[in-house]
Amino acid sequence: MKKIGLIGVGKMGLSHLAIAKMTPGIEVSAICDVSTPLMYFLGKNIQVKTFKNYKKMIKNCSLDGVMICVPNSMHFEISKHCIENGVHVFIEKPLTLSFKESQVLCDFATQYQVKGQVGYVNRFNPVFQRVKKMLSAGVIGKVTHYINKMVGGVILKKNSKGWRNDYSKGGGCLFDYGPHCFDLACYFFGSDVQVDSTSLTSIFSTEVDDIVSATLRHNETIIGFNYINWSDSSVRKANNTIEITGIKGKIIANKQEINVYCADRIPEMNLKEGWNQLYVTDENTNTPYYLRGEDFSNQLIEFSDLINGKIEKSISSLEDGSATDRILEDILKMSGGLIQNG
Amino acid sequence: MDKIIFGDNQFFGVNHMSEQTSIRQSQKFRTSEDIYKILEFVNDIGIKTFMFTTHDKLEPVFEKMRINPKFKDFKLVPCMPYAHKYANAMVELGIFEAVAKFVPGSKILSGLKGLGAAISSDPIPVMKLLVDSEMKQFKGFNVEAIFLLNIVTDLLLGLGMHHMFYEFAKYAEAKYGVKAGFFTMNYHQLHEILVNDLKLDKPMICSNINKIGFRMNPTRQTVEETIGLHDSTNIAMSFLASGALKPEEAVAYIKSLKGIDAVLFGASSPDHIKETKDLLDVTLST
Repeated sequence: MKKIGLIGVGKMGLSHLAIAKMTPGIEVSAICDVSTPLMYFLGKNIQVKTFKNYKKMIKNCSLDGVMICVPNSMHFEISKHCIENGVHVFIEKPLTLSFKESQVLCDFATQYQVKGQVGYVNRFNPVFQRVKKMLSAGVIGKVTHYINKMVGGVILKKNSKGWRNDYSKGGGCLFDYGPHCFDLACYFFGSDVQVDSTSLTSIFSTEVDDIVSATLRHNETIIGFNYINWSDSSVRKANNTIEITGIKGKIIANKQEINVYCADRIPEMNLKEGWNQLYVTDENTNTPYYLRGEDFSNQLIEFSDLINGKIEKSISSLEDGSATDRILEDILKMSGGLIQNG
Repeated sequence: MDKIIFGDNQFFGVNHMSEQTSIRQSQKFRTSEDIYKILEFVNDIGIKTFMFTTHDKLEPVFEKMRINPKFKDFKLVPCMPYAHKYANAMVELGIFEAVAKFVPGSKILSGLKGLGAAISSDPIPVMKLLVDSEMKQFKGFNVEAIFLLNIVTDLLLGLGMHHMFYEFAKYAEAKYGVKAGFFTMNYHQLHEILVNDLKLDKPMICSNINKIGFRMNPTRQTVEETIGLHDSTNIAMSFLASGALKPEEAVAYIKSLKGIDAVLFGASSPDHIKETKDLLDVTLST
């Protein structure tokens, strides 16, 4: 049993805490947050040591791993400290707010022989994993284009304050939704990416974008149109949809379902010629503990496997996180500023 | 408890499989009148229990029911807390500030105002106040049970705050004279806590139960074995596995388990509701 600590108990942190406590192979022995009442409350109600200072927690608790769920702008400093102390890290997305800092973390992790994982939960979604398998098996042949869309309703009225309206704190749709969307593209098509064109549009936010559009080129040959909007009031729940065109077919997928068109029948994957529909109910979704989706449970099982030495590298590694941070940075640089539409 | 319970997902465009279905449903139930009409139909064909989250959109529906004598023997099962209301507040305000917003005058607030002041570490009074505030609108209705939604049940289960289940059950009984129930996506683990640790008498548990084992955690087999003990009141939801199963085979499976006390289902068209009800009637009664 490996001992882990959790730094930052906001909404994400609280859900990770519950999941981590139920994940085999790890035991949450300490948590840390700057909120005094919160630490007092949790200290009294769940059997775990509490801290207000993460350095103190690292020093006193001889932890094997930590989960870092603090605001984005603090990821680098805290992760660096944990890595330097030889503690394995799970870091919520995005890894950091600068490609350079993310690279430093990757280098440090190698140097200190620390294992790392970034919270790209889409990589643990059973339906997206099925899409990945289909692509690897060449179900639609060589991929030429994709259209990748993520929409949700986070900012629906004029916003001139808070971290969401501040790039240096990880705000903007670009740094909030963007990481999930671009990471999904890298998961499917590789992280050898060049940004061909971008635009950042603001609707309600005064200092940051609300809608991102970007054309990416993977491996010099796969062209991807990415559209990300966190100000879409028509959407009940944030969702990703991706349409992938190959020379032998097409895949349209979201977290629940896949529609796949195959030019030829592929018996080994049970796919008929023409359209095929697959649902999340076709996948094995069993998990030891479910809180908000099997993807969230699976990503912590992976972290447990990682620090218990059952796997060498996570499918959502620090390098993967760093690749997405480079894309985000390039998009911001290339955009030429905000298009004001509000 | 009735064997057939009508649910509310379709009213809010909740469909776990398809965005298109969600969009179709949300067009169908634009107004409280649209929802009311379906519930009237449900009541007319003899489904007498409605289980729902305490969504603001339902308030005018209950007002209509209140003045229609046809609903006299209709039973309500509120499920709380309507998570989005609180989750949104939590994101915008922070955990404690959100509690303070919904529970004015709660002791926790004093901890924020003056750091170091005496603050409450006891969530039980807050739980009671939240239940009371949700229950206000059901005064005069025939409330059959009060359920805790799975996001909260499973969070408390994960955090290990199991005593809250006990306190919730005791409070529902003492204050409202009804049984408490629990939605969960972790049937087996919750069952162990409620029955074996907390010794609750036949606690009501509502969870996914379907032939393909979709979201029956940790495994279908474990869940089936625990259901077989029948020392809890078991309510099956998602018995059609979001449409992955044919109704006949789905119902046959429920019957084969011999430990299911009730089935919760939802549908948006009268025909579909009637068909499912008839099928459940025939299969579950024989």
